[in-house]
Amino acid sequence: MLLCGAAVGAFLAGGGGEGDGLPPPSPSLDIAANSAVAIDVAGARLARFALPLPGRPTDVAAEGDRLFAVSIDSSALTIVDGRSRRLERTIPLAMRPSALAVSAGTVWVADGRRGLLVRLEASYERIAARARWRRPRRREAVGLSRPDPTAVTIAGGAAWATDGSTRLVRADPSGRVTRVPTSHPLGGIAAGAGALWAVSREDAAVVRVDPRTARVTDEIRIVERPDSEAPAPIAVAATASAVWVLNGNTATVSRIDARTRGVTETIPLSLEQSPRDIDAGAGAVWVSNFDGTVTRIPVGGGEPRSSFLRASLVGVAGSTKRVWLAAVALDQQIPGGER
Amino acid sequence: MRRAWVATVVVYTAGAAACGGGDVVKPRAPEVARAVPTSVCSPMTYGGEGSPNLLVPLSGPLQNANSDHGIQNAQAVKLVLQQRGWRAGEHRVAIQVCDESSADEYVDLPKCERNARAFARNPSVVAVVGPTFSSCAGSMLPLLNGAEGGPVALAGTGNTYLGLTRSGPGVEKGDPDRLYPTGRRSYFRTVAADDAQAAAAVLVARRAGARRTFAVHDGEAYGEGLAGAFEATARRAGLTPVGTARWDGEARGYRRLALQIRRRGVDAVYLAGFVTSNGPRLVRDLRAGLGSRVELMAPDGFNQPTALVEGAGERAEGLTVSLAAAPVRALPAPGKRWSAEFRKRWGASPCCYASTPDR
Repeated sequence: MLLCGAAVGAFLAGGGGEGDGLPPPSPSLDIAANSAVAIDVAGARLARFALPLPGRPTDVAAEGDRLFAVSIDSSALTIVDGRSRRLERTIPLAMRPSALAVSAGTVWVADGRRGLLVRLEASYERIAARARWRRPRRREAVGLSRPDPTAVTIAGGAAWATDGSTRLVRADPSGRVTRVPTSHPLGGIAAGAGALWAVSREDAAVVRVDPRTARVTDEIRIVERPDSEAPAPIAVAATASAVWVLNGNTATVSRIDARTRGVTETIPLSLEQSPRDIDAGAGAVWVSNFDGTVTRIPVGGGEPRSSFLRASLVGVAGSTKRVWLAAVALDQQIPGGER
Repeated sequence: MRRAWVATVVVYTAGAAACGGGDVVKPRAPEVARAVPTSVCSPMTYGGEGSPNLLVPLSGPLQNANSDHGIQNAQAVKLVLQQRGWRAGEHRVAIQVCDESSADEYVDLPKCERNARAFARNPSVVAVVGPTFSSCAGSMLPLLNGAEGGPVALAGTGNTYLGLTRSGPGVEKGDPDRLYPTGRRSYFRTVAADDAQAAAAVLVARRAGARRTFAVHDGEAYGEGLAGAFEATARRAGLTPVGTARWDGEARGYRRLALQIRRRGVDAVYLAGFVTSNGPRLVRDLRAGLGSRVELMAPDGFNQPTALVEGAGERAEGLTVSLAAAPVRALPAPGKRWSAEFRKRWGASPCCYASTPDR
């Protein structure tokens, strides 16, 4: 599949604009709804390309030069080769994929509604293992106004998933499931800095788990009293020495020192950008925003900078080489009303 | 009115004069606008010369479902301000975007109240654009109307609840008078009210040959109001409304409700409420229980096609959803031109409440 286009753009300081008060118009890159967008970081400029996905992306993960995306509507795992800028393969999935993780060519895909994890080897279009767990009772479809708590990561050769309950799901490569009890309902997880880090939106807390012992080692409070005007963690990323928690309600990122295990900095983003996801890649931390901007946070400190891509961005995935974004269509539509 | 006079110039170029008659008093705004100090608002945005001396906050949902509205409304206001050099007459105007939702709720009424108090206290604020939700407007209005120095104007972007401006079927007791403690109106909306939406649904039902109608609502003011308006309009149109019922947004399913409606020999059902109140499941179960010949209709609270199709699958086929705003193609030439500008600037057409007919 050929690229949609290529263009360059620049990052803006802060969340808002400069000059006329608005972010500069995007270069002419045609980002279709339900696309994967690649960013090559080169100094202060971006070079990027976009590829259409077979359905609405629910999660993305990156490894090396490759992007792995799961989508619904037409349930599939799509693998994109960033070097050739081509679609490598599309693997149909008989599930509703809500999250995925990739490590050393092994992909785990989670279906939070069914309580199902599947393991695939990226080189083969077949499922190598299935892991099932009893999912928590959740009201169906009411969750449209709430983020999906399903998330998965890989550590110590096993897959670790959150499902909105207080118990982490651990699936070993054969599909055997064990549960790790915690004190908080969990809705996001990342591996890095020698541990697993799971976040609780409801309790505004981060739980650190040692993947070797499968035990909770620390509970870190983002705020003392959670409420609708206080940070509420919705996603998490980990770098070598820090954990980065994206907060709803306040549009902030809490930086946790992985060694001292305390919040060392709260980085303000812009609420009107409607931040959705966070990941580390290419030497920085990245936030995808539903208003069409992507925000770069320097790992070593410094002001966040945003770039406007003119698409609704719901996911971000980084590797050492590249940063990818998942773009969707707006939810609110007037069918045929644009003409 | 202390501050409303400038609102008309700022955002909506026509129709805004309806924001309420009465005296025009110069605002006692400071020389440099002060931002609203709250953790749920973005920083001020201003792109004009010098510093702004007035502030217009925008209230919209910025999290989860419906955040499209908050984002596009903010983009629309920014574009209009930019096109006018961030000026309203001699004034330099900034915008500040504030959230009316939370990580858990599509609309957070305590937050709406706190925001309204912050706006009312800030002398730089001359008018508020938004909120998107009627219930949020109902929370904000008494506080803004009773602001020290006079009412602060509110320009509702997506508010369809009839009781915000007048009484009628489905309107809560005491509305709208309780919303205006000063006795002076300080609110206008840029979309049609729910009686118009309900009437549109009745027309659809009648054209489909329906005779006996039923309304279900989700128990919220929006849903109850719509159900009441639908029933009253159906009766006036010569149809026979045979009942109303509340659907529980927390329920696991609605087969029993479907059976209850089916027993009444109904041929059109109005789903008055929000899709976020378990709407896809409701559509699925009603369609399964009532069959394909019964007309299903819903208001703009169901305008999330992706979620509907995901949740209800092929059983969402045939559901008619009304909107209280005109599609771009129905706008007059200036509206179409402006929408094209919006699309060029922001990459998507303005949907729903981000553009309003310019007449």
